[in-house]
Amino acid sequence: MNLVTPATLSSTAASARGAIKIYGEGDTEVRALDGVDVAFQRGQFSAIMGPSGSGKSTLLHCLAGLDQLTGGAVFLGDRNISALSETELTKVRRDQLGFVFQAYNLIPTLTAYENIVLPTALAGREPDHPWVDRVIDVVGLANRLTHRPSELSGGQQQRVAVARALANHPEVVFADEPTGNLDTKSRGEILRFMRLAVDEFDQTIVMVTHDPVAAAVADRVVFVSDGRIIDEELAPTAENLSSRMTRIEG
Amino acid sequence: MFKLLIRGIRAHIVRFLLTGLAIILGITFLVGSFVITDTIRVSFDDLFTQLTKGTDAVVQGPLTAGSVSNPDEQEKRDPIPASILAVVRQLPGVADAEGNIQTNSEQPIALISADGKPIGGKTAPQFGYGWLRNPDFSPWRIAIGRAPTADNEIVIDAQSARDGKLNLGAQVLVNAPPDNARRYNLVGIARFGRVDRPIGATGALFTMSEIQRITRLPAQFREIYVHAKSGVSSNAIRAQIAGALRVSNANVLTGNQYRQQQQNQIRKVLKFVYIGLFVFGGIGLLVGGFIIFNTFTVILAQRTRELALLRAIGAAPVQVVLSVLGEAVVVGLLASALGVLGGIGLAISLRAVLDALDLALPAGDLVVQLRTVGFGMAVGTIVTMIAALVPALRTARIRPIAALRESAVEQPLPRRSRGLIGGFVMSAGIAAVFVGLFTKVDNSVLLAAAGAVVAFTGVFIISPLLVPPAARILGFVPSRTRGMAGRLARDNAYRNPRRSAWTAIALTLGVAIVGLVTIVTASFKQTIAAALDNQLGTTDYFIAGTLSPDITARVSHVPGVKAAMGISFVEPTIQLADNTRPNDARLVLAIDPKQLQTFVNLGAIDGDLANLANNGIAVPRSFANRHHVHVGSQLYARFPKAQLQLTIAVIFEKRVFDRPALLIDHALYNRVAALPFDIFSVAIAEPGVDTAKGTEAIKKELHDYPTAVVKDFAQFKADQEKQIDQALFLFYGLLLLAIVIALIGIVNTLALSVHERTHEIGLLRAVGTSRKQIRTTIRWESVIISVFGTLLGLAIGIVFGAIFVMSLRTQNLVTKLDFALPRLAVIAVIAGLAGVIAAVLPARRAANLNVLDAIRTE
Repeated sequence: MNLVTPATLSSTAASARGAIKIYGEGDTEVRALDGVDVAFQRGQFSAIMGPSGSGKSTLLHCLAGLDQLTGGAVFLGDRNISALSETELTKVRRDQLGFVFQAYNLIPTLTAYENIVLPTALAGREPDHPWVDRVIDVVGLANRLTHRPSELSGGQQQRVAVARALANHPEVVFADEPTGNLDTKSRGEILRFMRLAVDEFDQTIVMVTHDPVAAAVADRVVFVSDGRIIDEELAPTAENLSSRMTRIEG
Repeated sequence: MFKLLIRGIRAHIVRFLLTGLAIILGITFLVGSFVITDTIRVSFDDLFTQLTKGTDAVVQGPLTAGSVSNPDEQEKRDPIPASILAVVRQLPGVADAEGNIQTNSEQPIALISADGKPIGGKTAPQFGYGWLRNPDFSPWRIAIGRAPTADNEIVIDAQSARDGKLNLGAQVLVNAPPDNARRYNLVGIARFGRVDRPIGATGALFTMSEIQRITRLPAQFREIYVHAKSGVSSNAIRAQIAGALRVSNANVLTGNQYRQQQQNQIRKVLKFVYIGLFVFGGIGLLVGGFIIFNTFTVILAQRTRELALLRAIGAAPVQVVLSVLGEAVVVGLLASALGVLGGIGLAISLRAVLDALDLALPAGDLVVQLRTVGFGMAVGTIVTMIAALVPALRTARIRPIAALRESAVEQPLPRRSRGLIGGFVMSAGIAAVFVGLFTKVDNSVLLAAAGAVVAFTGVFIISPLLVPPAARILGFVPSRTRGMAGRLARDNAYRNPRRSAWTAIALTLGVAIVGLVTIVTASFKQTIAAALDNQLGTTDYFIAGTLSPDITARVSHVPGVKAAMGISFVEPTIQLADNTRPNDARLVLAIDPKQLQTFVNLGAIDGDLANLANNGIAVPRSFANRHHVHVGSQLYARFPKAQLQLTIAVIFEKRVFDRPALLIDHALYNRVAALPFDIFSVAIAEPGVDTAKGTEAIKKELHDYPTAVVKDFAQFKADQEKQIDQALFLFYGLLLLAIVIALIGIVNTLALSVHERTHEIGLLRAVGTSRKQIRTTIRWESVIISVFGTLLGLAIGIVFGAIFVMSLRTQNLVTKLDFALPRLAVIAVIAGLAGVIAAVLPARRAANLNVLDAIRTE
């Protein structure tokens, strides 16, 4: 199935073409990505689902420039980032992307606020104060800014991570199981903020998850299995995602 | 449990070796000092025993009265009249007897080849011996030529002859004050037993009558050697001789007693080699102990979960503690074993160095005694165990539940108790230092040294409290100039104050010692420079060496020289009218009363220097006050050649040549000294004379005294300072080792920190931190820690340096205190650079971490 169509190309935020990722050699060879073509729209909340070992996280890491493809290419907008040097990739991650990982997203020696503006500070720039203030306001952290990560709950820590991902006006926010370690209440909050970021701030989010409830918040869900895109869902609900996942895993 | 222990060590083998390196180096010095001194001692014992085995008894003169006040000093004995030899020879048990004379350090001779160069190298002492006819009594054997038979003939040791390219028939100039230099014909070349010459010394052999003339001991001997008739035991012959010499108070020894006596003398000399190496070994071990403490603390903190798991599955606290101590024992044993090998290697290389310096030891096997190995192994292992004890005991408090927690929870001492305990320990140590340095107690040096170690332990306990403020101040630079990377470095430097402080502590210790030594030597230099300026500021030329008394007269006649004065010294036994012997009056300088004040500023004086001519003596004001004497008081002095009653003629204010010396008339000295000669001579130029040209003129005048060294005042002063610096740089070289060990400690901890923060570093990289920024962060963290350690060390060094100098001041050994700030600044900069170097490998490792793998690490 070819998901890249001429109509979507101009508004593509991130995409992969013929992406192949092979780990190991000979008998131990694992094809984590086996020719993936996929594109994620600007201003959309996309989710990538798949069973364990399907290659969904590898796809996200390669799209985000954290891992190198064995073959094919990944694009950020129209720019092929597969060929960039490590130094250039670092700049891309710092200036154009946002990240939310599953847990331990924050630098323990920095306060919540310092963590939020960390990428800008690394670039040696002043943060966009009105924007940062607005993000902080939305995630409800205004009275927690001077706290260190160890003084925040797991849900609060993830909210700081989301705020950091947004603080830099990124072209895409990549989230890798952002709700994996949270209780139900915190999971709901984080998903709401991410939804809000897409609806209110016109952000682009690509999220990997195996949780149908989380994926249901997305506009579009692609399914990965054995290193290939096998399906997509443009009107996701927890129920239909659940039954699809059961089918894929079965 | 044992299996687990071995696995644990194997998993971290490199880290343990790095940790152990400090112990290895410390033990290397300790064992090396044992092995080299044992080797020297045994090879000389062997050589000497073999060479003198034909000697069954020895007669020596009585101990010179009052000569042995310090057991470390060589014994001084009076000579024996030749008549005693005649008595001994006639005894029924005596087969043969011969008297001997050897020059000693109080009767220096100088051997000069025809081209004016000293024979046997510049540094080697030169000794003259009488030629003994019976080979049973002497180690010397003729290799080429023949023995000296006429008084103008000389025999030189084989190595000195070879080095000086001297052949039979060569002319050798011998300068033996008070005579002028004389020429001798080289008639033979001799070996000293199996070796070419005695250790490090040049030997010259003369006829017995000539050596008696040179040493001014006509018809006298230093020792008489006796060979008994066969069947007469050495005890019997000794008893026979002692009986015959009852009235002469001579000292009679059996051959074995004599050999024992000589061996003890060698041991006294070796003691200094031994103490030197021992001190460096001790410093190495102390630094090593702190590094081991720190590494065990960090490693155990990382392994809290693992240890808690052991507890959860049923290990008792004591089992956990024992497993950690077991690791310490294994590390200690391994490191000590390597240290013992290293020590043997050090001894081998020291022997090679001695060879290269022409101080070749007699051939023989290296002496590695069982006690050396046992001592090295025990000390290394015990130090390691003691250092690991506190961290190990802490593991007993780990509760099984900790296995389930997210991160290791350390419970450091509360700030208040840390400050109180550390402050108490530090004060106790400083108090001990003060008592040791400023009061008269037994073993005061030991007490002061122990106090310094205790005080340092106090600093060690307090140091974590100093890290946060210090890191904030020191971190100002990187956080302003290196942006986010610099700020992270600053924050990392104090996120675990204990670890940072204790990582730095080894460096602190090394720098503290360097700082202390620098301050003390700088103060000495200042003192000498000031004394020279104050007291001899008018002097233009210095002539040093073993000077014949006529040298001063010849210098004073050189055109352009206004005045010259020869100075000599003697160390008589002084006794006051109340029969007490003052211990602050060992040195008596001989001066010219008429010239003295032209050269030396005595300050205010009571009495008249002219009265020195009538058996007078001048004493410093401090001496007069302490012993309640005044002008006109009497005292007794036993000189080598006379015992005299002297009258205090003058009391003066200032120290002369910066020594607490008494003064007598040079004319009196010439009458009472065994061999009168001057140790130096000073001269003043006429106004307007160029001292460089003047120096040349004096050199020219003294061309037939090749051992006299002529310098102008500036040169003399510079040389004095250079001598101190040379000793200092040797010391720096050895201390560099301690600093290298300290650096290894920093590398070790940084590597552990990087390992611990793998996830964090991955995260930083993911959100856009460049490799360069990661390296910058680690490098500046290292620099902050090492500069902190250095500044703390400098502070300690300055405090203790000042205390030490103050105590030297109360003993009048120094008068100035110089903090040598430029030199201390250089040390601080070097330490900062050292921090950069220490960070290279950990920083590279951190920067090259795979981002994804790092993020996945918890």
